[in-house]
Amino acid sequence: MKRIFRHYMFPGFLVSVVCLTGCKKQNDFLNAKPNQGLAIPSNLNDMQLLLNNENIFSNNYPSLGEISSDDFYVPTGVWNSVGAIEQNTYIWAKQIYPANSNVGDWNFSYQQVYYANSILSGLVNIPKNSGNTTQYNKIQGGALFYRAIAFYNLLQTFSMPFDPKTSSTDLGIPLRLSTDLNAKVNRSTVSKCFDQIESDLNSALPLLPDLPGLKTQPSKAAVFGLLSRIYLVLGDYQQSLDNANNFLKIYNTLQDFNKLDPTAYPVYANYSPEEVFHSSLLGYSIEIDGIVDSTVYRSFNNPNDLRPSLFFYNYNGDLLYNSQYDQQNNISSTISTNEMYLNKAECEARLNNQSQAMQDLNTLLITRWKAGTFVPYSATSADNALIQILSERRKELLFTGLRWSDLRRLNKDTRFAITLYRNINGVTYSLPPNDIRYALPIPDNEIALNPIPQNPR
Amino acid sequence: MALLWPKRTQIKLKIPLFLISALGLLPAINLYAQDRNKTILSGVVLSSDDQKPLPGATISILNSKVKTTTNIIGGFRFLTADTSGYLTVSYIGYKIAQLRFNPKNTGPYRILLVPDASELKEVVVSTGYQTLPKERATGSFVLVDSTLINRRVSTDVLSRLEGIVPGLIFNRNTSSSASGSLDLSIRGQNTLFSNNQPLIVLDNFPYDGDINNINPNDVASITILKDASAASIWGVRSGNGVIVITTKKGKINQKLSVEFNTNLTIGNKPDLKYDPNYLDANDFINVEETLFKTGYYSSTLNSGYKIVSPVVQLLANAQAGSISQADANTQINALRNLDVRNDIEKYFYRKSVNQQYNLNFRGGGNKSDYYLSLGYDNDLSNQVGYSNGRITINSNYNFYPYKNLQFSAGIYYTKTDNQTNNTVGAINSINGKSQIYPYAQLADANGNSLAIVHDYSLNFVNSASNAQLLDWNYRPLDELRNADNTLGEFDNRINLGLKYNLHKGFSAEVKYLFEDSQGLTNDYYSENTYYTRNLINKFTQTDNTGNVTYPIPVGGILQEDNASLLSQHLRAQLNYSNSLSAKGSLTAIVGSEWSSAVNKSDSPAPVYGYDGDTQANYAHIDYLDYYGLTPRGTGSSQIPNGQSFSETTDHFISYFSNTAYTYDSKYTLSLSGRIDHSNLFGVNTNQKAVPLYSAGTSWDIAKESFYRVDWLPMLKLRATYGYNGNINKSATAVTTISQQSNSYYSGIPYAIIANPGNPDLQWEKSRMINLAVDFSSKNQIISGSAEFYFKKASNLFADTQLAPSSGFSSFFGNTANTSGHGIDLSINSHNIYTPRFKWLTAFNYSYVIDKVTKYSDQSTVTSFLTQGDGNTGVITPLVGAPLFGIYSYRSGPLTHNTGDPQGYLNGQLSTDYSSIIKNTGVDGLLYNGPSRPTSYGSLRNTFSYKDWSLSFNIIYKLGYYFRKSSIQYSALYSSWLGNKDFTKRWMKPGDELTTTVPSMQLPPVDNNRDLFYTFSQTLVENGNNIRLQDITLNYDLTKSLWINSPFNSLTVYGYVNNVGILWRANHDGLDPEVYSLAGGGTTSLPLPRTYSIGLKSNFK
Repeated sequence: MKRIFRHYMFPGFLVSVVCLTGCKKQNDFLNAKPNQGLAIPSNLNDMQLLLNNENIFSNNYPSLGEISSDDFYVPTGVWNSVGAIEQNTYIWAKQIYPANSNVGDWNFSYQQVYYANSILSGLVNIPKNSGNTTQYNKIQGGALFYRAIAFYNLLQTFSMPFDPKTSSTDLGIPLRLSTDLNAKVNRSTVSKCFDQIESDLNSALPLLPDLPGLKTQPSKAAVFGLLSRIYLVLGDYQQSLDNANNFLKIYNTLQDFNKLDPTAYPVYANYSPEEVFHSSLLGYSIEIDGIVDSTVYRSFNNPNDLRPSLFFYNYNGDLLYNSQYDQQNNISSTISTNEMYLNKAECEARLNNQSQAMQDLNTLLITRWKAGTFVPYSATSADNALIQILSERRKELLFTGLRWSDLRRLNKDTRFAITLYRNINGVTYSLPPNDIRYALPIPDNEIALNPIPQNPR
Repeated sequence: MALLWPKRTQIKLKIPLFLISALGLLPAINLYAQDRNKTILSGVVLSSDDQKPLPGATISILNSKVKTTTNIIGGFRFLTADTSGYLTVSYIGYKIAQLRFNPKNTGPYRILLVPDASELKEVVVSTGYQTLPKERATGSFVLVDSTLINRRVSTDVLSRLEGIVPGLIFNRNTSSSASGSLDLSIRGQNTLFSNNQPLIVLDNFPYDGDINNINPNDVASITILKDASAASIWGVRSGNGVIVITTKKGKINQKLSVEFNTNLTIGNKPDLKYDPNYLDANDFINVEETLFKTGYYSSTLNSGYKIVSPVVQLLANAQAGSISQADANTQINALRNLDVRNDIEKYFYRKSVNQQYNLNFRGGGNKSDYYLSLGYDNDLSNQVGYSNGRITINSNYNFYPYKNLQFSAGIYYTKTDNQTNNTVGAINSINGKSQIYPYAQLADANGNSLAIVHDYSLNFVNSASNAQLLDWNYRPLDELRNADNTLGEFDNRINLGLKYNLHKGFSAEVKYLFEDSQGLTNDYYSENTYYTRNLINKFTQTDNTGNVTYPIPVGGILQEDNASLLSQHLRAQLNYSNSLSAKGSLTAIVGSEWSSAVNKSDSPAPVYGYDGDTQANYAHIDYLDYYGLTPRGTGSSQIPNGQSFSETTDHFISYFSNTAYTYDSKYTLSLSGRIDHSNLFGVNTNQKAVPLYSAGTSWDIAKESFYRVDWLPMLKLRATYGYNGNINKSATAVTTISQQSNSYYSGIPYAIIANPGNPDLQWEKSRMINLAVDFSSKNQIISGSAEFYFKKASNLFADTQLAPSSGFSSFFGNTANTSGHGIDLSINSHNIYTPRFKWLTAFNYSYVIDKVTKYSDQSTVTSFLTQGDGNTGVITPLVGAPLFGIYSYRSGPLTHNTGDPQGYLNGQLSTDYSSIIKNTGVDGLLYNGPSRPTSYGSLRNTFSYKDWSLSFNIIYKLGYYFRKSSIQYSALYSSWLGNKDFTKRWMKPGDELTTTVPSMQLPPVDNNRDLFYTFSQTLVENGNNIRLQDITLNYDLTKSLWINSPFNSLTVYGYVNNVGILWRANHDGLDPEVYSLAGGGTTSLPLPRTYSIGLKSNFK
């Protein structure tokens, strides 16, 4: 017995040591969840839950462009009462951000990018099979869409307008494509940025359902809508038209304004039926107190046009925005049918299809008029059509966050270029077309920690 | 102390005595014949623990030159001219023995020598993985033997280390210490935001349970591992040092030894009047009268339910005409001489009484050994209602069934029952106030319980009982009587081990530990308790017709919480220890360990309507609806549900190795390395694991042939270099999400990213270089060691700013570094060392300073002021500054005309407090100095004379600062926070020459003035202090025992702890070791003095 023991003890011991060190169990042991309250995102359900985070993906879209645009003005008294970032943005100041400030417009969009990247990198480790393909695709396409729209919004706020002549050297934004927090990512060129956005959207397209279950979730229609918007900015009117048409093939519902109650608030209890994708802008108090520009208000010159009664409400003699606010009291920033009809009409006009252009415009406007009163608009030329369409676009898309992009692109055309003015404390500030201040400064804390070039001001 | 047994034990020792007689008898007769005046002395010298003979022991006669040594069997015999005197027996490693001889008693003697742990016998240190002889260890080990452990009397083990280990300090002035937890630092701090407490190892494995479960009577020795070489064997858990506790064991071939120890400790009541945050009733009432005239209380009085003090209520009643002004004054004047602290002391405190009993057995046959210990402690705290009972059963068994095979098994079982019924804290926790008014009365002249203000005004409370509400008064004495809160814990630790000695110094072993511990908190709030009455009243609903419903049923409330720990460790290890050549010897271990610890805590919903007698309860509680609360205007709320469940799991897999090679007993080289993997960081990071390693060397110069310094026969140099690690459980390498309900637009379930994954996460590492010298003069008159160390901690977890394009603007990662250095000096001297009288001194000195060298986040001025000292448990790092520091506003004298404090604005004295506060950045703050002692240590003197021994320990802490509290008028008015400095305030021009306390301000109070003054440099004091920690007196009765007594040894002792402060640098009578919150409000009290008597006995 003793001998047997002596002979087998040592080898037995060695085997147990080898087993301890070599077994696959080791990885299982070390993969144990440290805290039951937390989950390591590992399955499709976890990814879906992340994608459902509407606070990240559907809220706090950049708003500095809207403050910089000519959708509203504020009197000096209101201007004095708002925060420094809003004050400086409003007068297109050289310095916008106070020292050590976090800039939500930048931070929230990149948070959206981080969440999208987390989902995309998590999906890599989840096997796709016949049972989960639909859900898998929906999640992957959704994350791609959310990342693309975040990049697009950042680009429209923090880099100069697209110019085909210089876009391959103009500085865009850092394209963060991984979740590595320590990575230093430089600004890509504007054309690289648009390539990335197009590529994300094109990848998302086949993965998504035509229409979303919830208005805050991405869909094929939303991708078409965003592509149409982007190609308009890029001046590729054929592609913008094609995508608007694709959108309208899936969804072409227009809201009859006769059926809305202008005294209700919010006007749309949930969402406007024209929306296929709902999001909202980061709320700044200067916007809430923003007064509708009087020339804009006067441009609603047809008494049968129902829009003014829904768009605006009279508060102590000032006209403030109304129906543009959503159920959560945020400014809606949506991809909707009305924008698509306007994109389509503009592209048709630019592509010399004058009558189709006017037909598209009239399809939209008839729903905005008192029932039975609408007289269809007509144009004398394609150019005349374009002028009418852009004028209607200005009115229809007020206070939706789109005006800043429109200013940026239309300023490139001397016919439509305008200078913006502000008057605060008796001082007049102006923003001429194509001014370098059309790109907002990159937040200082970004440059301090990720040394990238600042926008000249 | 030697154990001396004259002739009567002869029979047991037939052989040696026979031999002695045979060897010595014949010559003795001859000599005796030659010289009748000489005495023959003979006997045998044996070791007391195993009865083995001690050959070569020196026998001499006191004050005489006669000397001999024992032979091979321990026997001796010699002649002396003296007919009576003292025989002295000494042997290296044993305590010197003395015995008296006289013509009637000349032997043969049987002399038992007791091993002396403090003598230069082979001292063995334990790392938890192996035991090694101290002379072969290169690292910084401090061994605390059982004599030193037992010098103090306490229920717990670790507090016995206070003031005896160089480099180890008890941080007494922290919130964690004030709340009863141990707060230790070994050689400063090597982390910012991660765990900063040393690792406790109990018999080979980390102790995950409650350290108070270990009975000090079971502890044989404690080894403190301070440097990288000593501690790196513990890898990522060793960054704060390691304390290895070794329990008592039996020994093979040892006869049964039974010990019984008991002691009784009685402690004073704490000194409630120490707290400087107190304003006496007369001054307090004067302030209230002044404020009342300004209309300060009118809005509070108008609310009807908001709290007003009794004096303000009387003044209001007089103003309203419901009582006369004269009556009001009479009643108010009656309150002026009251002091609520007297009532609190009388009813809520008592003398503490701690009893401790321990009985243990140990012994061993030729194939097994055992140790069994039973302990019982019963502690009645100085707070009425707090008590703690503990039973410990410890057994350890080793079995050697075959040659070379050892099987061991042990169980350590602890059960504690705590009563936690003191409600003294609630007296001061008044809605919106910091303290009770000083004239509160808890009982009337007959001892009947009285109501005090608590959540609502007394007027409101007294009217409420008419409105079908339960009595809403708060009566502190009733609360104390009705409290029924218990905490029961048990802890079960089972050890198993198997060791096999292979040939030629190789051995292999497997060890396993299973620990299961549970704690059940049971809080029963009967219908009589304020807690229950208040909750029921708040939720009571009255409809339009006056019908009353009780959403919380009338009855008691039971809240049970359960916490459990399940931990397992498995270790496989190969050992080698042998001589490689004639001069070289090698000791090495290599092994692997898996460990797992699962902590769970469950708090189910409270049981409403619970009846403690029948255990009946109401099933239907509506947790969903919101109820309007009574009194009206206090909002609405759901019924508290309070459910929470949590579970955390820690897994580790480690590989370790430790090697030491000694050549010629002079040169030692040691190497150790360890790799840790854990589930906290996920597998990816683990694969990149960086090993923590150390290397060390020592050189025993005194053994060199060229070394000829006679007066310093021992001189040894040691040097080590290496890395320890630390861990932070709040950071993970993998991304973690946490599920939420109700998304922003659609209301669907969604998830947030709770912790962004960082694949670059690493362990915190601290590098330490340790240089040491050990020395001993001839006869150990002076011996000791000096150690110098240099530390660099890197990869420390801290918040750092991130480029926001990463998705986060800040991140908790490996971004900070600290560095530090220090000295540990330990000197022991034998000032007088004669057999009858001894005077020994032990002196320890430690110096340590740690500084932040890298930290990328920036804290606010307020956080530097309020928590820069680190005593609240939060560190406010600043590059270039110590981890713990006192910061303040620069300040000048009070103004001459108004007694306003002055600060500096743009370099000029100013009273524009809001601008001073606004314009003082972190750079503009005054750094007063460290808030933790930078020099500390102890001086312990032990005197022994015959059977008496007296020892006292002086502890000093130097080189640090603290912030004292002072009057804040805003807090005095609004939350009744008094301070005795009020009486020293500036009252008239000229006072600024004698006081720094600002003048009283009337409403409207400038809060900024109080804020500035509270954090001004005026209130920063030097913390230096020297205290007499304890005195112990032992009397060894062993020699006085009657012949047939059942004892081998018997000692009685007395002990006084927390004796008092001998010197302090501050002149305000403040104890800098007492935790106080910057800005006042929470001041704990100095530890009361305690007196113990006890008995140690060893049975035959």
